[in-house]
Order: sequence, then structure tokens, then C-alpha cells
Amino acid sequence: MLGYTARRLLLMVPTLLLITVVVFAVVKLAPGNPFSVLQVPGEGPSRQMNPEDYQAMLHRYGLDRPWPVQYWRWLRTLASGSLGESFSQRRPVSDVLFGGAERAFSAGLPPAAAASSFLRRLAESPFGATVQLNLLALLLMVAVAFPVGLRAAVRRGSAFDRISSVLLYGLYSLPNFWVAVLLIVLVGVHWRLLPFIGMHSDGSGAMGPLAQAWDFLRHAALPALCLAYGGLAFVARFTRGTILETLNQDYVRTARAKGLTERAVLRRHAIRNALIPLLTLAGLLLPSLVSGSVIIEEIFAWPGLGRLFVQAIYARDYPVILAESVLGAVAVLLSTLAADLACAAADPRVRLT
Amino acid sequence: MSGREEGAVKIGAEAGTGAPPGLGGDAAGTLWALFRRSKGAMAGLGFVGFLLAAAYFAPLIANNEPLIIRYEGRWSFPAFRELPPLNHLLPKDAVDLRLAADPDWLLDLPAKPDPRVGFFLLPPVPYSPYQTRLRDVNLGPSLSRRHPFGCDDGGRDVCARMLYGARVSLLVGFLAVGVALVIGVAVGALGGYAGGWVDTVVVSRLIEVMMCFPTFFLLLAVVAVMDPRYLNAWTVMLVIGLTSWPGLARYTRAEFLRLKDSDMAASALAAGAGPVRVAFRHLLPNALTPLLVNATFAIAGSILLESAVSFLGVGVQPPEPSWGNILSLVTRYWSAWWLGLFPGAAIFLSVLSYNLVGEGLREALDPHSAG
Repeated sequence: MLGYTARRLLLMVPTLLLITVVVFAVVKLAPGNPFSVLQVPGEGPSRQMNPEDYQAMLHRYGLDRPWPVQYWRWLRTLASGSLGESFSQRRPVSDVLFGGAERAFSAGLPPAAAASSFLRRLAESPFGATVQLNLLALLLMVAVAFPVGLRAAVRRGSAFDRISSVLLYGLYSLPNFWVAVLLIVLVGVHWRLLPFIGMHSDGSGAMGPLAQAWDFLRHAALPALCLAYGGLAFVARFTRGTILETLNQDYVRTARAKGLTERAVLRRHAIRNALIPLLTLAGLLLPSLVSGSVIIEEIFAWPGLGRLFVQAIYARDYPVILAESVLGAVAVLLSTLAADLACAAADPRVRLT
Repeated sequence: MSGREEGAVKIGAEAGTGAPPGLGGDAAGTLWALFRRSKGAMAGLGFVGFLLAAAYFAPLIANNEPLIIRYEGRWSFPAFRELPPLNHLLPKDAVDLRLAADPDWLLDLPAKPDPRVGFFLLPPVPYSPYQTRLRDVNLGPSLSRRHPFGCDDGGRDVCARMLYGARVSLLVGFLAVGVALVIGVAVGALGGYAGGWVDTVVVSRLIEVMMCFPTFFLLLAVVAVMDPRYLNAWTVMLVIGLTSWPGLARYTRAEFLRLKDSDMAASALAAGAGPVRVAFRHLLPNALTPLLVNATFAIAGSILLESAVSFLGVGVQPPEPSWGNILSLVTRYWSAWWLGLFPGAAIFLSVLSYNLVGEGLREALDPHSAG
């Protein structure tokens, strides 16, 4: 197992390097640079950047150097553990993304206080906001889809099986930004049932912890729902497939043959064994959750990484765009690795390939 | 070596003749018979046909110029001016009538009768997608004002804009997937057929890395650095095509890997065919039909991507209409529900249709997988 893990980690090095190449190439190949928008020929002088200033800006950020030099510089910054400095906020990108949480440990606090300060800072950062929203969405997804998939597998071919599969398939084709818009118009604006802007109400800091949590849940309800429903079909179908597969196994037949009730067969044998492949689901779901987060956070003004990405696009904040693209890809890579390792731990045959 | 070159040249010469083995006349017939069994897939295909017709005939359905008008004693068909090939077939002066005044006055007849106008027939939605009208700003759906889906913040008719937006959606759907297919098949075929270090070091790594990026992220990163002046339906289509090929490449590679050692490939090689010929003339047609399923799902994905970037304001730029940029207006005027309902429904129905067609194709190709 250790050898397998080491081999997989080693294989990740060229992949990581390639990820940086792809991100860099994508940004360099697209026409324009952060300052070229300010060079609009048809516009009046007030909207034009003076050519000397333009050259000075390019030079200031090293954009006038040949691209291999730019790439090498960026790679060196990355390798030193820094993500560069945000153009628009003029502070390190890691501060923008993680709220400077790591500094909690260098403030000279006792370890326990430092850890709690670290967690609080992280939770308030865009990264924390996105993680909280996505965890909630993931929970919602599994809580609905697992029972549905299970029931569909047990009653295979029944009306429930067919209707649930058609319904979930329809949900899968519903664009989440449309659902978000409709929910806001109906639930937020027309019925005024739930808030739909941001993560907390104004002045929520003064509330008690329970009221604060309730406030958070009310704000998170609509965006989490929008993120979750699209994956329902996928998770339910996956659950149904794995349960069906385990139900065909010899050990299930043995369990039935020795006289266990169908309920006990399901609970003790089928579900437990189906849980292992379900672990890999998180890895498979991550890319779609990441993409979904971008647009949903922007619509609901959720102060997370997705909204930050969109804001960085509007502001042409290159370092933030580069950093988030690399981090997104690395997160997907790591979650795939985690899923593979979980599989390898459960099934020794995987380690050989 | 010369044998290989010859094979490569022959592909080009033979490309147009005869049906490829995988999609022969009989096979296509069987596929169609199986496909027809699925009601959902047929409904999806029907909706795609409807969209094609709506997009093509958009100038006849939504136009501020009349379909037929008798003006100063002559018959004219101004609405056909933007409808190829009819605009070339009809006599030039029959479509070239340009009414001097704002064509709006036609709507107000008979309040302002004009003696030069005789009989006239307006399109069902008598507005063009770009025409702004101050008195219709943020007007809700109204049949009496002939705005079935309401108006946007510029007083432009939403229905007219959606009809022209269907063109963007179809363009992006088909052409972006076309671009993605060309790249994906080329890369996947190279990896799957060449094998060896070409596959393990170059192709597989590349596909693996590209799969790490959620397409939407990559797409946003590209449009983020693009000059907004270059952002239109064509560039968005191209960027989607250039960023969404890895899935198709991975699939093609797997298919080629599977087919490479088949008897069919061996016998073609034994008969003296070069590797390029074997890959594209024998393996590709066999991989093509299942690839079609993935391509259909990719169309749905591309349409979703285009509407999402346009929704965020970094895709197709107004005034050019796209379903996504019409929908985004609702986030500025939350009470204008029609700006949210209708364009979103169009996106949903077309995505659902392509997904249903893809599902139908998959079942038709592999009836055992159903259920």
C-alpha cells in the first residue's frame, strides 16, 4: 500500500507541472492582456491609457518579457509557496483566498488558541465559504439520492424505479442558474420566505450561536439546493448500480440461503459493501461542484472562491485567475487520487496496475 | 515507408465514396428503427427540429418589417430580405423596399392611415431583436401588445431575441462539438493507436491533465483574458470547442485501444494497409457510432456552457442576443420574472432534448444496456 501511494504521488509531479503549463498557455494564448482593455482605439482620451503608462505597467508586472521568462518566474513564485500578489486588492493572493489564516500560528498564541483562530479565519475566508456551501450541498445530495437509489435497486423495474429515474434525469438537464433565478423570483422576492444575498444577515455577529447557525442555514438553503439537485441523478444511479451489483454477489445469496430476512441482508451485507465504491463519488463529483459553485455563488452573492473568480475575471486580476485555476485542477487531481487510494485500500488487486 | 504514404494519400481520395463500414445503409436503418422506439428520444429530436426551423425562419416570425405589403401599388416582401436563399431567388426590388419612416407605424394602423399602403401582413411578432422602444421598457408579457414573452430593459421584444438566440445556441452546439470532435479524435486516435511512449508520456498525460480542469473553469479563464471586443457567438463557440475535447479524446483513445488488436485491424494490416489507413479507414468508422452518443451529450454540455458564460456577462455580448445574456437581465430586475422564465425554459428544453436524443442513441446502439 505504501509503495502504491508513493508511486501515485511521484506520478503526480509531472501532472502538476503540466497543469501549470496548461493554465499558463491558456492565459497567454488568449488575445489581450490585463491592460489592453484600457487601450480601446475608438474611445475618448479619458478612457485611454497613455502608451508610456501602458508600457510601464507591462514592465511593472513583467508582462513585457518573453513568455518562457514569464512562465519561469511564475513557476518560481509557485515553487516558493506563494501564489503571487492580487492586482486589484494589492495583497498576496493566498491572503485573498484563505484570509491569511496561516498567520494565526505565527502570532505567538498558545497552540489551542492559534488553532481556533486559524479555523475561524479560514471559515470566514472565501475558501471556507465555498467549503461550507459545498459540504452542505453534498450532504443534501447524499441524503436524498442514497435512499432513492437504494429503493430503486431493491424494487428494480417497479414504477418507483422508472419514475424516479425519469424525474432525476429531468432535474439533471435543468440548468442550475435558471433554477437559482426562479427560486429567487419565487421564494425570495415573491413569497419573501428566504434571504438570497450573501452568507449572513447584517449584524449577525451580535446574535447567539444558535441564531447565527439558523441565520447561516437560511442563507445557505437556496444556493445549496441549486448545487445539490443536479448531482441527484448521478448519485442515485450510482447507488442503484452498486447495490444491484452487490445483490448479485455470492455472499448475498449465502446470506439469504442461511435464512436472513431481506432487511438484514440489505443492511448487513449489501449496503456495507456498496459503501466502498460510494466513497469514490466525492472525487467524481468535485469538478461539477467546483463549476457549479462559480455561477451559483455569483448569483447568490455568496462570498466564496467562485464569486471571487468571477470578480477576478471582471477586474482582469490575472494572479487570482491563475491561482484559482491551478488550485481547482490540483483539488480535482487530489480528490481523484484520494478516491483511487480508497479503492486500493479496499481492493488489493487495484494496487498492481 | 512508401506503403504508408500511399495509404495516407488514398484516404483523401476515397473519403467521399461509399458508406464507411460501421454506418452502412443497413446499419443506419436498423439504428433508426431502434431509435424510433424511444418516445423521449423522438420528442427530443422533434424539439431539435423545431429549434432548427425557428432559428432559420426567425426573420419571418419576428421582424419589424411586413411579410407582404402593397406599397404605392407594388407588392413587396421585405421580411424575406434576411432569409437566404429566398432573398436571392425573389426579384431584388421585391425584397428591397425600405420604408422611410419607423416601421412601428404599421402597428398603429389604422390610427395613422397612410394612403400609399394597401394590403399588408405583419409577422406574428412584429419586432426585430435589436429594435429598442422606450414605451415597452420592462413590459410584461402582453398578447395585445404582441409581446408574448414580454420586453427587456431596452424595450426589445424577448420572443424576437430568443428566436435569434436559438441561432447562437445551435451554432455553439453543433460547431463547438465539431471542433472538439476533430481535436478529440485526432488526439485520442494518436494515443490509442500509436501506443508506447507517445501514449503514456504525451497523450495520456495530456488528457489526464485536461480532465483535471472543470471545462467551465478553463472556459472562464480563457474568456477572462480575452478582449471583450472579440467576444461574440463565433469566438465563444471556438473557445468551447477548444476547451471541451478531453472527454471525447479519452473515449476515442479507449475505443482505439480496444479495436487495435481486433482481427479486423490485423487483417487490414495483413492486406497491406498502412497504419494511418487502418486507423482512419477501419478503426475510426467502428468507433464512430458510439462516439456519436458522446458527441450528442457534448452538444447539450456546450449549450449549457455558452448560456452560463453569457449569463455571467463574459460570453456573447449584448446587443447580440443569446439565451444566457437575456436570462442574466433578470438578476438586475428581479420582479421581471418573464426575463427569467422564458429564456431559461429554452435552455432547459434544448439541453433536455439533446440529452434524450443521446440516451436514445445509446439504447439503440446497445439495447442490452437499457434499464
